[in-house]
Amino acid sequence: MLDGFQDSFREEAYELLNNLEQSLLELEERPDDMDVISAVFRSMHTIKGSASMFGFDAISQFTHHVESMLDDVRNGRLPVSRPLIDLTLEARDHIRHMLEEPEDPSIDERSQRLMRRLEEILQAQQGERVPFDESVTTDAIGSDETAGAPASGDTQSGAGSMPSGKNTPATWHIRFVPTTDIGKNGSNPFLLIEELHGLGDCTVVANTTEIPDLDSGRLDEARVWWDVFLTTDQGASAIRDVFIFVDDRCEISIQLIDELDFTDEGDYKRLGQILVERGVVDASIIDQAVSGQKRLGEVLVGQGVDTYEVETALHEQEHVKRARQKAQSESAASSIRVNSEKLDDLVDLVGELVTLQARLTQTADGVGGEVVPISENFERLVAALRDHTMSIRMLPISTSFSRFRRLIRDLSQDLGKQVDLVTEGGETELDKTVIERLHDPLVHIIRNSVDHGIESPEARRAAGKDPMGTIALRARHAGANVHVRIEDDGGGLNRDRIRDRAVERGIIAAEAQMSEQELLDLVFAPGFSTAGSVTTVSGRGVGMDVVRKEVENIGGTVTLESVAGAGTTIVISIPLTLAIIDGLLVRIAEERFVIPLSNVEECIEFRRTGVNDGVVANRGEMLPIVDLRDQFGIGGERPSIEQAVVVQTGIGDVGFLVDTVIGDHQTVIKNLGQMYRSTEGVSGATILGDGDVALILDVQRLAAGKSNELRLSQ
Amino acid sequence: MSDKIKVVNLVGEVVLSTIPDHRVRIEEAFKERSTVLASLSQVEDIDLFGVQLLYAARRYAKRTNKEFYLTGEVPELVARRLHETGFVDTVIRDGRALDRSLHEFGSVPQEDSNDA
Repeated sequence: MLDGFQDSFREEAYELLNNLEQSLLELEERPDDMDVISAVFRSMHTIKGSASMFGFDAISQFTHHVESMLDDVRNGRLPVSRPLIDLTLEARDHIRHMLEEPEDPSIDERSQRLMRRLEEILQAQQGERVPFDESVTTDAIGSDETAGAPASGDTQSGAGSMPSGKNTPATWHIRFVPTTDIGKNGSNPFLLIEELHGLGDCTVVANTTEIPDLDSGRLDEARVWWDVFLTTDQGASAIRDVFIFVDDRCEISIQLIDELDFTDEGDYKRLGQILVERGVVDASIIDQAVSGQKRLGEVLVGQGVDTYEVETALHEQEHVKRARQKAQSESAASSIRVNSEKLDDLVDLVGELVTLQARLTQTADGVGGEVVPISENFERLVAALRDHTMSIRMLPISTSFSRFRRLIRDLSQDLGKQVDLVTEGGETELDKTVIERLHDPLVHIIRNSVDHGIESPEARRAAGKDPMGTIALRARHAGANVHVRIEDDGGGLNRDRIRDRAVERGIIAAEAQMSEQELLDLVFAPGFSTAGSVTTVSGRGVGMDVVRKEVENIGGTVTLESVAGAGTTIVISIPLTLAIIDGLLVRIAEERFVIPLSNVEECIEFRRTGVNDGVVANRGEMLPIVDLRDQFGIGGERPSIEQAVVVQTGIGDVGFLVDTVIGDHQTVIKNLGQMYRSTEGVSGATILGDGDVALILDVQRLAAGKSNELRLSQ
Repeated sequence: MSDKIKVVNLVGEVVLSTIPDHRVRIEEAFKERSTVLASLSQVEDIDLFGVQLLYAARRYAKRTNKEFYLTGEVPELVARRLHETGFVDTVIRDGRALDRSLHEFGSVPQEDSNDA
């Protein structure tokens, strides 16, 4: 049972660590942004709390130290600095390592080393620390006396040090003490409190103890003050804004008392703890009081503790408890966490259902009668179920993009370059598996861009460019595919150097005639590298050919554009999903194949004339042909009119020759067994309605083979 | 109606600008009777100073061994406002129930009780 919870914790922790990394990188750009500081603290706080809860004691203890440092940052006692961010990022990586390799014997030593460095940062800042009391900022006090409320300094922290802006809901304790003359300038304290209600869930307690007698002659003086417990996602600045026009006629303190995160349970502090923290009573009095059988509140009031303080503490307790329960129930209602393996199982089952449905449809068509409408309804339901199931596995590509910010930061630091990352279309969704498999190719491309694309700041200045280079990651839907563009504004590719290198490596003949685009495509050839030196960043012998192969393995294509001096753009086109695709079912003799429909442009008739039979004319253009009958060694008579299925590939449009086009087909992709995995030109298999197996064509690989064949024949 | 009781109907707005008038009426009622009931049913609006007037009257009564209670149906606006501004835990539309529920309504401030 606990193992299940621990797995959940790990999943959650990885997500939190990713968020933490993003927040830290944002903090580097906006070191004064209290929202980001708060987000960083919250992530660390949650990891610590959960680690402790699920028995990851080493992580909890280590995180506690980092959290303490971040608490100092949050409270303005420690400034955000580059070393601090570097160290927190290292700590984040270390926590991840602790999760992944809990048995690693070096963990403890590394924890100690990082903690010593944390301490060094704290000590280095000691001289510059702002005393805690000075960080308390209670707003201006009016000229007249206030209604006898406790001095503002009694409250622990002030509005100035609090997170602000829209963020995770938190509960705030606001003490609002109007000056006695607040009514004389037309201000109405009731309206201010009503405005607080507009910010979120409020519990308001009025202190009426100072209201004078009827004959006191002071009934035009405000003698009430308030404690308000407000749960809101608006932050401290929004709360302060409520009082902006009366800031010289009241005393305000705003204190964060509870941040709602997923580890919070309904229970909150005990009454005694609240009163001790507020300085109302000593802990010893509480200990003494709880030893009796009576309710603590009654005992304390009986001992002369201020009734109002006890009541307010009870209201605080009740309010936070309610807010936590509400947050938990809302969270539970809006989403649930499911192990991704269960989703994979679900997709497999839906795949089986789709296959069975195809069989049913085929059988129903043969039998006819009442079975047909039942089969059609079943088909509709299966299609809806398939779409819903696939949508569950969809993730925004931003989950992948966000990881590159750190990569670019670290690489550019190592190489002494300045590189900014711009992302666009992060909300574009892709199947989880596609995103995972896209990661390595993207890492390689980005490494190349930073290492070989973006110039040094000096070189950029000399070229009249901004010393800060830019890498842009953009994603967008394009039919059943997603296009991911990786653009850099670096030096671009030098075609002469590419040609020289290709000749040198024996990839092309010295006299080969090639277009500009064909020259650029040579960088995808196996063994090609234009890097002058092998660096630790890239140039490790893994070339762009591996990138193309990886992308093609997930049914995608890679194309490249480059302008010398202006930059390079690589476009990866990938299918939305790898589990169930729309395919075009074709036949050659008795064999059936599936061509992924997302790449198909059109089908045209092809008649052999004995001249130029290696190409097919399409809209005035001659397209190369892949003869699938020859490719797979299928015998038998060719029909007099063959069909050329025109498919978009990495080398341009290519015609795939088949005997007959049967029609579209919901294709549940089945992996090929070990024996057939390396079969050239086949990416998988699917089961047809009649139970037969059809191979799914790897059109990119087949087209690339054709391209090589043509190049060698030139 | 008992000859010891006087009902003061608070009419219209019970706010800073109208407090002197309402206060005079309550004080006069106390001069006539030992028990004063303040009916809130015709109150159109109330602000902090209006609420303070009710508390002040109650405290005065307690200090002078008289009685002061709220009565009548509480208008929705008044009931809601008293709740939202923290004088009572829920919205209460009945004057007698409100009387029993207003925070610290029956208590006498420390300073005043010492004076008494």
